Amino acid sequence: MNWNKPISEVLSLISLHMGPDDVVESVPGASPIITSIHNR
Amino acid sequence: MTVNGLGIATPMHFDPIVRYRSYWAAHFYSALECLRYHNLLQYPGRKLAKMGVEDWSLAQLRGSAPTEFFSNIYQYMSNWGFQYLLVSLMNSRPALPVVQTLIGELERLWSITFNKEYSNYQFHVSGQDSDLSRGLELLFAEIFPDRDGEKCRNIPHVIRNSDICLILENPDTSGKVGVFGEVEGLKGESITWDSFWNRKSDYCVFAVGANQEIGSLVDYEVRYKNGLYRILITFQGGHFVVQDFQSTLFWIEHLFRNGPLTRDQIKDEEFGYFYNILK
Repeated sequence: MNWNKPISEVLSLISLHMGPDDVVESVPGASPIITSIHNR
Repeated sequence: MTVNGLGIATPMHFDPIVRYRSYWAAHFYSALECLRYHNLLQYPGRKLAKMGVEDWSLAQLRGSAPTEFFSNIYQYMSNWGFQYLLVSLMNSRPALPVVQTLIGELERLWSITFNKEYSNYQFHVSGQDSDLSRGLELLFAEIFPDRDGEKCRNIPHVIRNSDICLILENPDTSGKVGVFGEVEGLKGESITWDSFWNRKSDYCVFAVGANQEIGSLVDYEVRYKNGLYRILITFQGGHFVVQDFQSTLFWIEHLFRNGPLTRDQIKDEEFGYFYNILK
């Protein structure tokens, strides 16, 4: 059960559904996934 | 300097949905991020960390906090949680028109051209009340705008006293500049008040607020506040993003109140997917 898992694992689990095409995950210290203003 | 359109609200199109699954993921992710990283919350705040449990589970949180703890922090979650949600959604591709408008207005107001050079961006949570802001100063070299021709000398102070940071990057040189703003998730109308800006950083050039109005619009306007032009983006309380975040918080409260064995009839399949992930 995720209810008993560390919050970091639950966040990671949810973030799997936040693909770079949709939403960018924000984690302290992580390398930024930069979105381009141009060339889309 | 005179600025056209000062104080005139202009509608913005903000529809951050590509796939419902990722859209709802952003809501749940942001709510949990706020729970985990916002250190001013009454619960958990840093209480569990001080007990030696940095990476607590929802079960540990529920077990260690008062029964009604989420009800007690609900309004704060609505307010501060919107800050985390906004960062997630503004980093999504569908929010690009909003970002372009924001950057375009910065260029117009300061008579500069960012977007030829700084063509990449990402939003981050800022503020001393969020542990997510740790290390933010390492992600950019300078702060926009220069004041009186001088660059900001106290970047940590600006980070501590802002809610959101837009980092623009020049992909050719890897040069990065931070643009700071404020977020008000409950009393969005306050971003238009003089009293609001009297207490804010001189480097906060934009603000985003969600108010309690019935309508479902997003608009922006430019106002001169406390010696600086500020770009103010307002979500009416009836906008689906605001409403959906409220629904997310409602059901998280329900889960903390009733526990993971509760049986619920969630009509929205994608919403229910993430609700059940928490159990």
